[in-house]
Amino acid sequence: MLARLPSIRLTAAGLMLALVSTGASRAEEAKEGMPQLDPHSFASQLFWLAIFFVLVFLFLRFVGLPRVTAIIDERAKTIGGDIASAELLRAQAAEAEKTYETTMAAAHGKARQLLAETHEQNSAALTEKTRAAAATFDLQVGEAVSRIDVARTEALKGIREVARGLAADITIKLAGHAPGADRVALAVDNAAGQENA
Amino acid sequence: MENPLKQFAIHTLIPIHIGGYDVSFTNSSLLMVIAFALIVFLFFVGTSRKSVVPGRLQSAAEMIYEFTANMVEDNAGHGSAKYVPFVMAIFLVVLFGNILGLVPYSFTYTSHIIVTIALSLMIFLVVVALSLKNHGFGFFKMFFPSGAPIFLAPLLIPIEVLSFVFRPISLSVRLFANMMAGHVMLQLFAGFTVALGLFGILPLTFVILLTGFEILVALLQAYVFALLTSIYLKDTLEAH
Repeated sequence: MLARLPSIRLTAAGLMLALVSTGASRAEEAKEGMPQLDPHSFASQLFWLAIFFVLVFLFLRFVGLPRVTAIIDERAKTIGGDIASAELLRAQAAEAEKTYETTMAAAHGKARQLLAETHEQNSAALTEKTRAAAATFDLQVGEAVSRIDVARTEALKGIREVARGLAADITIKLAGHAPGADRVALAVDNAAGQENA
Repeated sequence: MENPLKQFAIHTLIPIHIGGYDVSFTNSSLLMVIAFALIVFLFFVGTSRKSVVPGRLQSAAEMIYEFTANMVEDNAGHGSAKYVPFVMAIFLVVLFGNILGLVPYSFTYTSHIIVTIALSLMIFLVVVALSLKNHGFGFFKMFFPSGAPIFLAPLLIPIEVLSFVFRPISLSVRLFANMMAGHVMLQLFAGFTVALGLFGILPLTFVILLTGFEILVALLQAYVFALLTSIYLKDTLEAH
């Protein structure tokens, strides 16, 4: 059986070669059967188990677990701090956005107002100018019309003189005698009246 | 074929006698020393870097801690946080005993009934002592379920007492039997592998599967042992 445990023996041998070689092995004396029921080993097993368990418990209680819980607490604190600062930054961003929107809205309103004012001013000026221009035009048109009337009257008057002269000349050529000036004027006026009608 | 029970034999490595008792350093003691060294390594070296993003060893230490802490919290209830080191010591002692025992040529100290019964008796005594301390004579109320008709007392009280007293026995025998049966099976089939020559491939396949299964059993039995400890510790906190 000892031959089946070379690794354990090698491990132990480095430290306790002399002791191992002098130590009596119970397995060689043990009879066939369950080694678990051999009471010779009970004292040793209980003794070492008690030391082992107490050491494990004390180590965990005073060294191992405080170290682990410290790490876990530290992590929770770090994560909590990160979340808090992220929350703060988000609030700041929201604040900035609100400020931006307020400013934007104010600027929009101002621009609209300015636009409306300018539009009003422009249209008033335009109306004024249009009216002035229209008055000027009316005046000029009126003057032009009266000038045209005068010119037409004069022209018409001229045409009648020419027509009378012509009529008198034509009558002399055709009839051989000069018609009375008032008869020529009447005939011309009649012809002009017919044409006008 | 070799006797499959021989693997459980205790060998003396350093003979020590104190007051007429043989407390020699044996292969069982050696495995306990190795287990202690590994536990210290895991929880001292593993937690030495204290990084927020843990490495492998630190993850393992944290996972074992959180697993045990949650188990105690869930099963022993409010105010049980002070029991975490105790339950964790039991969990790690059993876990490392079971797992290290699966290493070829090593030894399984949890396959010895004297070890498992010592552990479970210690748990039993801790539970009784803490219950008496916290509840005084109210502790004995747990042997009579509240709300049961009084004329059933002569029947119920012996049953409750018996089931309470059998706790350490069932706890220790469960672990011992699981460990011993697993190792006997492994040894038997490994023996067949050698004996059957070329056809030994069949039992060899089985040994491979069984090894995986035994790792599962090793973890599971450590878990069950610690879980039942937590459940028993609940009695020390809650009045019945």
